[in-house]
Amino acid sequence: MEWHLQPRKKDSKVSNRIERDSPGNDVERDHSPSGSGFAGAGSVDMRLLTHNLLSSHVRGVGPRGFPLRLQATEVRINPVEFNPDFIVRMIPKVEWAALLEAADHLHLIQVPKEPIQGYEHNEEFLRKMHHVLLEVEVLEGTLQCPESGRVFPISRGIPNMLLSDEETET
Amino acid sequence: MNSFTSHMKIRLKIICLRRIVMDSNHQSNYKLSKTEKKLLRKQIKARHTLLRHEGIETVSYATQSLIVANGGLGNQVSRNQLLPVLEKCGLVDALLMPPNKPYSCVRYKTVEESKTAYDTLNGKEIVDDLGQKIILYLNFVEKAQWKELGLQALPPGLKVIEEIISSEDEKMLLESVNWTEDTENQNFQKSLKHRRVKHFGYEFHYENNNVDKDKPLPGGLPDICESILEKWLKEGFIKHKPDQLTINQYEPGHGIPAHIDTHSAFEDEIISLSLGSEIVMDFKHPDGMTVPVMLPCRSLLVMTGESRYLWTHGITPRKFDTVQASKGHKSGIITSDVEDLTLNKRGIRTSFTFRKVRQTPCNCSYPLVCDSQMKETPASFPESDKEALQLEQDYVHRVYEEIARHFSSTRHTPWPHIVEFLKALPSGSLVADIGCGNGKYLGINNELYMIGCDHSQNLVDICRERQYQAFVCDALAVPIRSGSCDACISIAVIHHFATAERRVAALQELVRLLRPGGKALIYVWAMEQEYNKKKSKYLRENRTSQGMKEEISNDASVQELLVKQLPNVGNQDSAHSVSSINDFQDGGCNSKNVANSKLPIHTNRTSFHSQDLLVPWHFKGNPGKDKRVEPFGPLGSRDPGPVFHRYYHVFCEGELEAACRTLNNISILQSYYDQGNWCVILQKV
Repeated sequence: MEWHLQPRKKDSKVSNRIERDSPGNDVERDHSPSGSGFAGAGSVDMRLLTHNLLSSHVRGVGPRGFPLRLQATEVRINPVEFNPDFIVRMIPKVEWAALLEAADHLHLIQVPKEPIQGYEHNEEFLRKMHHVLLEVEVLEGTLQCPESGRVFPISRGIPNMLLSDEETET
Repeated sequence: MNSFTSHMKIRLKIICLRRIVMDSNHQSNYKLSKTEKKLLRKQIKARHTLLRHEGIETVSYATQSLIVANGGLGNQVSRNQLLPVLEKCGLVDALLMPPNKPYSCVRYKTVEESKTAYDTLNGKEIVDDLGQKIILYLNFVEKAQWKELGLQALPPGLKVIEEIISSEDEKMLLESVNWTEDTENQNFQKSLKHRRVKHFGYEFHYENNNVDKDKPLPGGLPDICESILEKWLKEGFIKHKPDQLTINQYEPGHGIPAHIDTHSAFEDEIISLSLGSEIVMDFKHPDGMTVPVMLPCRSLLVMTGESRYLWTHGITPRKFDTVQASKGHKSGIITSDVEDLTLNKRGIRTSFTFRKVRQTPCNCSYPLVCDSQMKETPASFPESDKEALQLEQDYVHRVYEEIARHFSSTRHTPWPHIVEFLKALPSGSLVADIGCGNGKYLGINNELYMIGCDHSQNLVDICRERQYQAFVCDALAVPIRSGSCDACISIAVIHHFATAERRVAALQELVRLLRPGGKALIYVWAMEQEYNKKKSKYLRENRTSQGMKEEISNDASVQELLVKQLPNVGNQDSAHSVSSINDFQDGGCNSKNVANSKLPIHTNRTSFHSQDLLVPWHFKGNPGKDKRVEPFGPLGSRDPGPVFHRYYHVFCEGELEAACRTLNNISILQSYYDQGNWCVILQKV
């Protein structure tokens, strides 16, 4: 099974070419999984791991507000230093169906349907998940509540989830 | 400090002995003469002062760079006095003269030349710009370092148009001003202590910083001004024809306190012509950024938009300005390049400030500093959720959006206990910072996956620039799926909610996000700023603070720590487990809030007298320039500058805990007081 995480269609812009990290390749840009620190220049936009945590808070939708439907007009790949332990710990926390759906909307090919047996020791799998969860960033796009249809914008990498006064009124 | 001083003394003794051994002049004399001893003492003192007050570390071995103590712009030594003295000892690579500092830094081409300077110039007497004797003390430093303050841009909407009038016209305008007429005119100021002022078109009243629109002054603007203004309009330098003129004359030593021209008095475009002498005018943004702008002779300053409505402008009362040394004063920003600064003696400057009087209330985009738009009725204690929302919008959200820009991480020290909490979390934890502000805590522990959220778009922008994951949302409706977080933090957030119900709702959200077993850390401002007979840093810091403490003077939540651990209240009896927060609140603190009562405005750096209040937030300025100016006598004193009011509900002892206990699925792990804050660590069961 070949894993090429490349966009299928031309309409989503990708700023950087996707590089496969070779083992021991210290990616200078970012030194931590959470993207903290000033190692690299520039900013960090919304990652898929973050998207996986977001849920609509429109009144009354509750758990039916997850996952938010992701549409992106501008995406980029931002290399992050690979930390296998971190990825191993993250895998159980990921809502897989939501991740698959988001990856699909970003036209990322071939994300596995579920974690592989013995994934803790499968470096190839972990590197792929690392890439999907942490290295794919959305700069411009929208998040839509699946239940109410309410659309939240993602602008300059930042989702704005504020509801208007009328929407928050009891 | 004792061990430090004695350590220094020992070091210097060794150096001295080394010097004496090497110095052939002293032959076998190991004892220092009285003057030499004195010089050494002063040199040690200079090293000590540089380290303690400026953070500059001097070294005892020879290097290319020297700190020249007492030879600085801050003590009236200009570049063209110091440089020749230094050049006598060798080739000077660079001379850095930071503004307002009593020292400079010189880098020689070779170490030998530097050593020569060190040996010959230590204790050297020179004369400063005011003709006073100065003694220089030199010490080696590793390298001539200076932290760049970063690129500055002119305040938006600001223009300086140079040479807009000819020297002849300048002379004519200056001569046309008759300062001696009308001694009964209250605008004529006899005292030489203060600047002189004259008004045309409309009289400007300094008591309320406004004009009387119904009483225009007879005569309008002087004819010569009318023709000059017509010319400027035609040439496109200005867009509107002013109808009010204020002429100010500043002698060296005069200034004007930082202010914004009253919004309701004048329209957008305010222009000022500088005659007779150049000057440096300081522009300050509410978040503290200061931009010094040079106004050359015969230049026209045009202030529109943000520079007119939001930034304050002022002139520091002093006799010298720090300006660019390189040839040809350029108008615009004074460089922060310390290799190119020197002092400029002020002359008498006359300004012609032209403005157009507003006839309707101001409707600018800067409501927080607008006298037309700020609510006439003072804020009152909210009686409904809707009122609470509006109060928070006006007195929390709008303020943070205004001051968010230029928030810098280097100015905020993360609090140790919060750092401790984050560092103790297991690797790979998912952590949410609800109300993350500028992301101070998002990068503390690289082993965590932290996401931040805040109501302020501007603050979240800063988080993104700092490479953190953050989004914009309301803390009462956090768009994160339930039970997904291993931990949450809420630092100095919940005290901005205006009703008890909303505060509990915010806590509920935090708990909702946690997985079972997950922990939350909550910090809120305490009513008790003095606890266990010890005053919090907020109360102790009762004067204008300096440098990095600048931040503390306005944000009372930022303080160093002295934790007072309360006895474990987890086992308290049912006295505290009341269902209604309001009951506990009233019983615990004895400060009842009467319905419909006005929210008091707090005096900074004093104890709190009410739980619900507005805390003033002043425009931050450069500490060195913040000297209070004497009142202006009959002209009245001007406002120190606009103030933002922020709403807070400060918590009583036990109140936060009790609020947490109303949630039935948590247990309180820790409850403590941390330098003016009540803090709780809770766990979802």
